[in-house]
Amino acid sequence: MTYASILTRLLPMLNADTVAELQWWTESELYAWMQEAAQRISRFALFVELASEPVTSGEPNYALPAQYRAAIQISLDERTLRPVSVAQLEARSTTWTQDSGTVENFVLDGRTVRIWRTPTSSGTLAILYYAWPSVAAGGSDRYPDVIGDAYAWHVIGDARAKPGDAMAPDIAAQARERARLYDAVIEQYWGTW
Amino acid sequence: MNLAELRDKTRSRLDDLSPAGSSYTTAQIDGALNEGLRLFALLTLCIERTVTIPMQIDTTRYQMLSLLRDWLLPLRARCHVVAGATEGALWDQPLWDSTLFNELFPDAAVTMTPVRPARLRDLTALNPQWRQDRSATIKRYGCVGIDELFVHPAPSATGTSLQLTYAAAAAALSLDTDTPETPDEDHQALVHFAVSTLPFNYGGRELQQGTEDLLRFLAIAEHRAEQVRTRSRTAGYDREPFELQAFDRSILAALMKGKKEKQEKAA
Repeated sequence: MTYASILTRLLPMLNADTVAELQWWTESELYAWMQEAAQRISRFALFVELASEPVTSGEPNYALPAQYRAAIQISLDERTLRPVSVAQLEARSTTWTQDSGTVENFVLDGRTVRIWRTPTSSGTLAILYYAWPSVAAGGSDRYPDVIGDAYAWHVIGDARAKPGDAMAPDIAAQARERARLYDAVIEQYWGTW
Repeated sequence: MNLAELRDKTRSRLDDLSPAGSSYTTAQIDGALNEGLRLFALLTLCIERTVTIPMQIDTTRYQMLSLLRDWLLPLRARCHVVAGATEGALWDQPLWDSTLFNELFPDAAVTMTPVRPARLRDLTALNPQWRQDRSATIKRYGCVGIDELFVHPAPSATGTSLQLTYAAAAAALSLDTDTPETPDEDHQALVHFAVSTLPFNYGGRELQQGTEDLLRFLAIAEHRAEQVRTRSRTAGYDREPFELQAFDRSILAALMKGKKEKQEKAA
């Protein structure tokens, strides 16, 4: 399932053999719709990645991976940390921002994860997370082709709903029904996060 | 039916025979048949394989798509522990009392125990440091996402394997003599899928007529999924196929009905 493999599947359904032969769409439009398809499909608990970050003594904040969508589990040196909110930490310790010692919890704050307490020794932070497999870097060849099929139907639905000469409501409706079928199957097997 | 026969049937249904390939290329038809095969395998989980994966010491996570290219979902796991496995005669290191190369030493003790499914949160709730647990026998397994498999506890010694039964993706059809891995009686479903998919570049009447074929494809898949579900329950598998009967097909039916109404009006 790469950008190129999905494109190869899409082009015949858009009456073209190559990108240059596309009559009513540009490659950048297909690319944008593919990114939207990736975002829609990544709401399912399908794409999981593991990131490891070195933890340094005295530093509680660590950046989350670029393709991060939601945390599944965060552990420090194979010890699972429990998620908490800032309100809970404030209730637990009025000096929580200065507390240091054994790390037990983590707080997600935008694009960073803050571990509590501030570590006093080095270690490795393992972040298991639901990812958004961007097609920007060509996608990932790791995932099966059947997931690429789901992407393709989402894109055809969008391409055929584009106002103008390319608009074909019957084709768009059929493509969206197929995309809905793939989504339903993925949701039943892997769930949502 | 092999690929060549499926292709001919599809061409015949699409009236693409005089001359053959005037509307659709061989690559387009093969692509549609393969997509149908992939979807059929996903909907029904009818392709099963059983493999034995040697577990690594102190390792709790495995990326299944790196180990098995056709991995979809786990169905059942068994822990296979061989004590004394290193006593087996290897190809270039025969032992005097081993009858064949690569056979286990006759005195090796083999045990096979069921491995129960679990969720990450269950293991964490039981013990936040579960990844540090070690044992000769794996007791639980689970999957996060499509390919992240975890086991608990991690094996403490060599000789532990996971006998895994899994639902597999179908192998692609590329040669004319290739036969789909799905049951023979379901091969017609692939023709229905291709007939419903290929007219997407034309739209119009052909596409609407194809909707009926898509519904037939889904009906065959539903029937197969029911059989697989019954068998899965009997075998005590951890997963069952997609519940197609719960999928709302009313919009597809409406698209098909729209076609019939137009035909009636025209008549």
